[in-house]
Amino acid sequence: MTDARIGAAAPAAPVPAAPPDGSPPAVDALLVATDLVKSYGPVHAVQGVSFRCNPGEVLALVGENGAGKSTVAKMLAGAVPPTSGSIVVGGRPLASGSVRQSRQSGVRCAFQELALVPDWTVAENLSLPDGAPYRGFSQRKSVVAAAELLGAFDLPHIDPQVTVGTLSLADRQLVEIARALAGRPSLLILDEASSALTPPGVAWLFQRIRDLTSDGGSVIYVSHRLGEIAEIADRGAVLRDGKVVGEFVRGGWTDDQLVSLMAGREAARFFPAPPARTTDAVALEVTNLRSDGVHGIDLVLGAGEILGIGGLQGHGQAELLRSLFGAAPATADSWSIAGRPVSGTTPVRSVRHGIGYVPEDRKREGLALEMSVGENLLVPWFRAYQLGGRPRITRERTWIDGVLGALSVRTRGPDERAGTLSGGNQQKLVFGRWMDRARTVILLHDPTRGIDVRAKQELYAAIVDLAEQGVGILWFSTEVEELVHVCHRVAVLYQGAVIDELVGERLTGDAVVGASMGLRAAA
Amino acid sequence: MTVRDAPATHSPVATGRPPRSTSVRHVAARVPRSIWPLVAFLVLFGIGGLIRPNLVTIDSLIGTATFAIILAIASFGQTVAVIQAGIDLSVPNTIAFSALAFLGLAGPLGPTGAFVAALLTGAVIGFLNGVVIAKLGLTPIVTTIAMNGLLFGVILLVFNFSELTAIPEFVIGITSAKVSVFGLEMAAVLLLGLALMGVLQLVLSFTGWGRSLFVVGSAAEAARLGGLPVDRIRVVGYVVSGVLAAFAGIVIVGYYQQASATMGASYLLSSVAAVVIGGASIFGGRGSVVGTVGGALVLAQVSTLVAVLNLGANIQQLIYGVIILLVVSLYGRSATT
Repeated sequence: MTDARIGAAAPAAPVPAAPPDGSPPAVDALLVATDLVKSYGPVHAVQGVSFRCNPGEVLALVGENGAGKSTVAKMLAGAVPPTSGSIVVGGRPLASGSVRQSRQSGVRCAFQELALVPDWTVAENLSLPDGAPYRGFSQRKSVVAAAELLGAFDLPHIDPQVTVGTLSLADRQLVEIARALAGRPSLLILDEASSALTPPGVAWLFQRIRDLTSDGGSVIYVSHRLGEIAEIADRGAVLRDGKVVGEFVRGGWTDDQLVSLMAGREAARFFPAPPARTTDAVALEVTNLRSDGVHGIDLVLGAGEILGIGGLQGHGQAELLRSLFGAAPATADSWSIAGRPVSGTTPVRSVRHGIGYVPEDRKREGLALEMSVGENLLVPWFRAYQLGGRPRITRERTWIDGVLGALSVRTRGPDERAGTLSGGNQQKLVFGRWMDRARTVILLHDPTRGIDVRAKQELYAAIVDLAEQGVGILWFSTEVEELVHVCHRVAVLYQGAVIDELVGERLTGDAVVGASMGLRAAA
Repeated sequence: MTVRDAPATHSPVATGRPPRSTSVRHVAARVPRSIWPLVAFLVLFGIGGLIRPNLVTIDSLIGTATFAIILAIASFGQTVAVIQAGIDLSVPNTIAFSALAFLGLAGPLGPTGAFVAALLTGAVIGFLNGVVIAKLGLTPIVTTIAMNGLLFGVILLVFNFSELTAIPEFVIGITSAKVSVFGLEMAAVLLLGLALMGVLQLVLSFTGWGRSLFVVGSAAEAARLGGLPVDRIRVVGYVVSGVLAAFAGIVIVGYYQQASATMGASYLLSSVAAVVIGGASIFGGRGSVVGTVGGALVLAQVSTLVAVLNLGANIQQLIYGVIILLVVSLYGRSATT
C-alpha cells in the first residue's frame, strides 16, 4: 500500500478534479471545497484540501489527531474563516467566518465538543439558537415544540424540561445531533458526533442519516471509528498533516489500508534513536492506577527509559499524566517513585520526589506569561524564604544560560517577558525548567504539538539527552512517528486502559494507530 | 479565573511580535509602570499651581503627601491581595476592628501588648479570608465582602465606644508627632510609610515568596503544575494583607486621634483605586507598593484640588471614577502593544 489510491473509482492523488477558481461548479455537486488553507500563525493546520460532496451522499473524513479534520469541518460550518480557498454550497459561495450565514445556506453542524448550554433545558437548547433575539420566547411553546421534535426524531426518552447538564454524555450528543437535524439541513456535518454514542445510539444516528440522504441531503461524517465508516460512508477522504492523502469509495478498502494511509509512510528522517539503556533501575512503578478517566493502569518506567503513551486524545492520557504528577486525585494498589513507596502524591510532593511535568497547555498551565523568561524557568525552585527576582536570576545565571543554550531558546535574555516568545520557545521554557535538576521522572504531555520542525528537533535531542542521564521519561504524543522512532516502548491507551504495549518488532506506526482505534493487532 | 486567562487563550495566532510603534511609544513602554502615577501626580500638582499659585509650596506638598501616605499604608495590604489575583474588601472593617481592639486593649495589656494583639486580629482575619478562598475555592470578592460585613457586626457588638479615648504615647510618636528632616517639618507617619513601602517592595521583588505571589497571580494553574504550594502562598498573602490593614488601623488612630465603627469605610474603594492607579492589574500578576504610593498621591492631590475649588464630595467621587476608568483603559492599551 504505497499508493494513495484505494478502490477503483478513486481519482488520482492528491485528488478531486475540483473546478478551477471562478468557473461554475459541476451541476450535481452540493458542496465543492477548493484548495482550503488554514494557518494559525506559523502552524499550517490545513494546507490545500479539496473535495466535493454530491447530493444524497455520505462523505467520510478520516485522519489522525491533528490531521486537520476538525479544522475542515469548522471551516465548512463557518465557525473558522479559511486563510485561503473557497467553499461553494449549492452553487453559491459560502460567506466564510459566519456560522449564521452558513446555516442559512443549509449547512448544519454537530460538534464533538458539545455546543449546548449545560444550564439550559433541552427545550431551550433546541429552540433558542434559531429563535431570532427579537422574537418572543415562551417556555411553554418551546417545550411543546421540543417534544414534537424529539418525537419526530424518535427520541421519546429525552425529557425536554430537564437541564442538559444532567443528561448523560450520550444523550447530550443525541440532543446536539437533533438540534442540527431540526434545521432540515441540506448538508449536515457530524464532527466526531458519535464519539459518546452507544451502539443503539449509532444505529439511531445512521437511520437519521439515511432519512436525510434519501431526501437528497448530504452528510460529512468525521470519525475515528472505522467500523462506522464502513457502514455509512459512500466515499471518503483521508487527511494527514492537513492534506488529502487518499480517497476511497464504499467497499473498496480495508482497515489496514486506511490505517496505513492515516499513519503515513514517511521515513525516520528527523528522529533521533532512543539511547541504549545502561541500568535496570525502576524510576516509577504503579499498579492498578485509578482516577477519573483512568481505569486501572499498570506501569513500570525504567531509569533512562523513554516510554511512549499513544492513543487518540481523550482516552485517558492527560488524566494518566496528571494523576502521576498528583494534579488529579488518584489511587493505586501500589505506587513507588524511584523505589520509594508512596500512597499518593500532590504536585508539591512530586517535585520534591524528583518528578517534573510538562503540561498540555503551555500558555495556561505552563507559564506565567507576564513574568520573565528566567523567573519562569525558576518557578518550581522558588522557596518562600530564599531570594527571588533579579538577585536569584543573577545567582542562577549559569544554569539559566545552560538551559537556554541547550534548547536554543531564541530570546533576548532571562529578563524578556515569556509572553513575547514564540510557541516553540515557550514550550522549551516549560520543558527546560526540569533540566539538570536531579529529576528521576519527567512526564511530557505532547510537548511537540503545534511547534515548528526545528524546535521539535531541539526538544527530541533534549529528551534523548535526559534519558541518557538516567531520567525516566513518560511521553504522551499525538504524533505516531515520534512514538515509533524515539521511544523504547509504547503503551497505547484506549478508553482509559492500556490496550496494547508495543516494543521491538511490533512497534510500528500501523500498530500504534491500529491499537488506538481499539484494534489489538496480532504479533 | 477564567476572565484573567482570556487574553492568553484568545490569541493562539499571536506569535509575540509586537506591532510597529513610534519611538515615543517605544520609550514610554520602557518606563517602569510605577513611575506613571508619580508623573500624573506632578501634572496634577502643576495644574493646582496654575489655578492657585499659592498651592505650590513645600508645606502643601508635605500636607498632600501625608494624607496620601496614610491612604497608601491602608492600601499596601490591598496591593498584596490584588497581585495574587484576589482582592481584599475586608480592609475597611479590619482597620476599624484593629484600631478599636488596640484602644480597648491598651489598658489591660499595655501599649505594646495591645499593638501586637491588634496585628494578630488582622492576621486572624486574613487567615480566615485566605483559608476560605484558597481551600474552599470561594471568590475573593464575595468572601472578603462577607468578612467585612461580619466584622462590622462584631465591632458593634463588642466595643464600648465611650471608653476609647486615651491613645498611647508611642503610637502618636510614630504617626502624628512632628519630625524634622533636612530642616523640613513633617509628620512621622510620612517616614514610617516610606520605610514600610521600601521593606514591602524589597520583599515583593526579591524574595521567593514575593515572586511566587506574582506567579500565582499571573497563572495559578501554571504555579500549581510547577509544584508551588499555591494554597499556602495564597493564605500567607491574605494574612499579610490583614496584618497590613490592621497596622493601618493603628496608624490612623494615632494620626487622627479618634476611632469609630465606620472609620475605615472610606478606604473600601480608595484602597482599590490607589492600587489600580498604581499600575496593578486587577486580574493579578502585576503591581507594586511603590506604584500604590503613587496612586495614593494622585488621589490625595485630586481631593486637595476638589477642596480648594470647593467642588464638594460628590464631584470628588465623580473625578475618582473618571480617573480609574482612564487609568484602566490606558494600562489595558499598553499591555497589548
